[in-house]
Amino acid sequence: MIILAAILSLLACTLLALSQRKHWKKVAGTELAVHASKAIRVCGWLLLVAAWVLCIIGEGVSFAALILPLLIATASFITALILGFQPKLLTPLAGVFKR
Amino acid sequence: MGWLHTCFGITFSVILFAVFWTGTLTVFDKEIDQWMKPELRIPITDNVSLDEVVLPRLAELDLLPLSAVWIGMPRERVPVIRLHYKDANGKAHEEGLHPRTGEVLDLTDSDAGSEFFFRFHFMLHIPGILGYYIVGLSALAMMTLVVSGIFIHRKIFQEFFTFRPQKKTRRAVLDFHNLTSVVALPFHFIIPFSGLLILITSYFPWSMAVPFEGDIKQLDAKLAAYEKPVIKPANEPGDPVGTLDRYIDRANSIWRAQEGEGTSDPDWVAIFNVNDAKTYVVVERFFANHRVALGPDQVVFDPNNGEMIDQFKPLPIHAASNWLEGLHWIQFDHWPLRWLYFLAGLSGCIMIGSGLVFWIESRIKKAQPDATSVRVVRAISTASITGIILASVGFLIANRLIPKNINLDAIHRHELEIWTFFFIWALTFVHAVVREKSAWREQCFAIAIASVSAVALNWVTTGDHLLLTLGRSMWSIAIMDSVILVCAATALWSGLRLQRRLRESRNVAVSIEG
Repeated sequence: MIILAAILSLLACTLLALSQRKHWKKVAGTELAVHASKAIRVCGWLLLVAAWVLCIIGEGVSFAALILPLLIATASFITALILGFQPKLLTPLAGVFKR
Repeated sequence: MGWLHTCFGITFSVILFAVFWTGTLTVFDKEIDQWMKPELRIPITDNVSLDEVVLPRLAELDLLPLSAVWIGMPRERVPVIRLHYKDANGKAHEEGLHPRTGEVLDLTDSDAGSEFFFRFHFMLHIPGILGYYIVGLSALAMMTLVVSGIFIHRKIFQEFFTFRPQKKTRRAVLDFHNLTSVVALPFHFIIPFSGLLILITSYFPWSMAVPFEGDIKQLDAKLAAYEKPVIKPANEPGDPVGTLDRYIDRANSIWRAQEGEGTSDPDWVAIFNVNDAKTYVVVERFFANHRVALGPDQVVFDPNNGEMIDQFKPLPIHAASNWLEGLHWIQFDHWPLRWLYFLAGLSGCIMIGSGLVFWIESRIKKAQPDATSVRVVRAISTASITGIILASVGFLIANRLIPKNINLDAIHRHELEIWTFFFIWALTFVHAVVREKSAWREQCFAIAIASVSAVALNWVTTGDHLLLTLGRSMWSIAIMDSVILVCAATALWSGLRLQRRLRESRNVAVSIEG
């Protein structure tokens, strides 16, 4: 359960990053439309909520209260490193929303 | 706010880095113990019988009458039985017993992770209360820095995922500082907060003693009596305790009846009023495995009739503080969370270190780079960041190089290891003063070489190399060796990157002069 929550957190963080214009441009090479930005952001937040629910189901409220913030921290850090060093790794993910 | 952030940052960064670094290492303190005391590398034993293993050992010992004996149950991370007692002369002893054979293990005399790094984390290895206060003030400063940082970093959401390594050093370092600060912001706040909460009675003992007219001894006595009954000795000789296993089973069944099958087993058993007619046994869970909250669950038995005398469970009002304390102590069995703590701790180190480096780079840009003040601060920064890392690796190397049975009159073996740590740390400062800009790079390379040497020395002195430990599921040692090798690789990468930047800046300087 925690592995799934970690994957969802990473996916959520990359989507939240891609919903920002400068990161989108760096990854996709195009301008990001306002409605697309909103859609990506909503998807990101929904995935974070899903990760939170999975954490609570799998680990209980007490552990989930520690695990989720740390999962999000790690996922955000990884996302920033990918955007800093290898932004093109996220191009396939951006491609999903380009369509 | 900017002024506050800079002022507190410069004043407390060195201490904060040391506290965060040793705290991060303490996340794996038991693994460091196993690495530095190879006698602890034994497989975990199920169904340990204290009656077969500990009671015969207690019968051999000449225990101080009316003292207490504490028995630590073996765990995955501490696979031996820990026995704490006082001999007839009142001298305290700590022994490790093999959980199957009861053999007293000849442990390497080392303070290792759960003593040296752990104590350094909250008292900086300074005797007395001074170290506590310095760390406490630093924790307060850390909370102030986190809050003031939020006000300074105006684009906190716009730049949440921003890291631009290709930019100039100052910009890249500031990005890294912001990134590591923001992503783990709750962690960076709650860790110093919970640390202060744990030690609040050490910082202000007189505040809790006010209801007892300032008498701290009376306060301690009341606190002790609150958790478990204090039974006065009869001062008549009594029979030794005949069984401990039965009390453990009964305590387990009581807890399982109350909390369900999944609840954790006791982690300590204590015998009070040893050798007295009114001796009693306490079965305790202090660091329960399967929950965050810390707090003693205790069941007290009278060995004379085998009856339960008392049961203590923390009141619901303790739940919040026990949870906060538990999240700082990290004694729960949760490997993924342990790793997340380790990563968050490292991010704290990076945050503090990058903040310090950014400040220095800014001063170098504004002032003369060769000014004495800049040179001193740069040397202190280098020694406080790469220096303490090198000293920590040196501590591990000293552990493997100093003979186990070394016999020196004036100094114990574990003190030699600690002196090595502080000697290397001091040496890194001297090196940083002498080598100036090159010190960062050279100390990074030194860390890389030292780390690989530490892993090699573990192999040579114990025969346990990484492939073997992985193959035999000796996870503690495999984790330690792997983390040390990752440390070596990171240090090498950083050193090479610094070398490239230094070369580029020199080329630019030469071309400007040309």
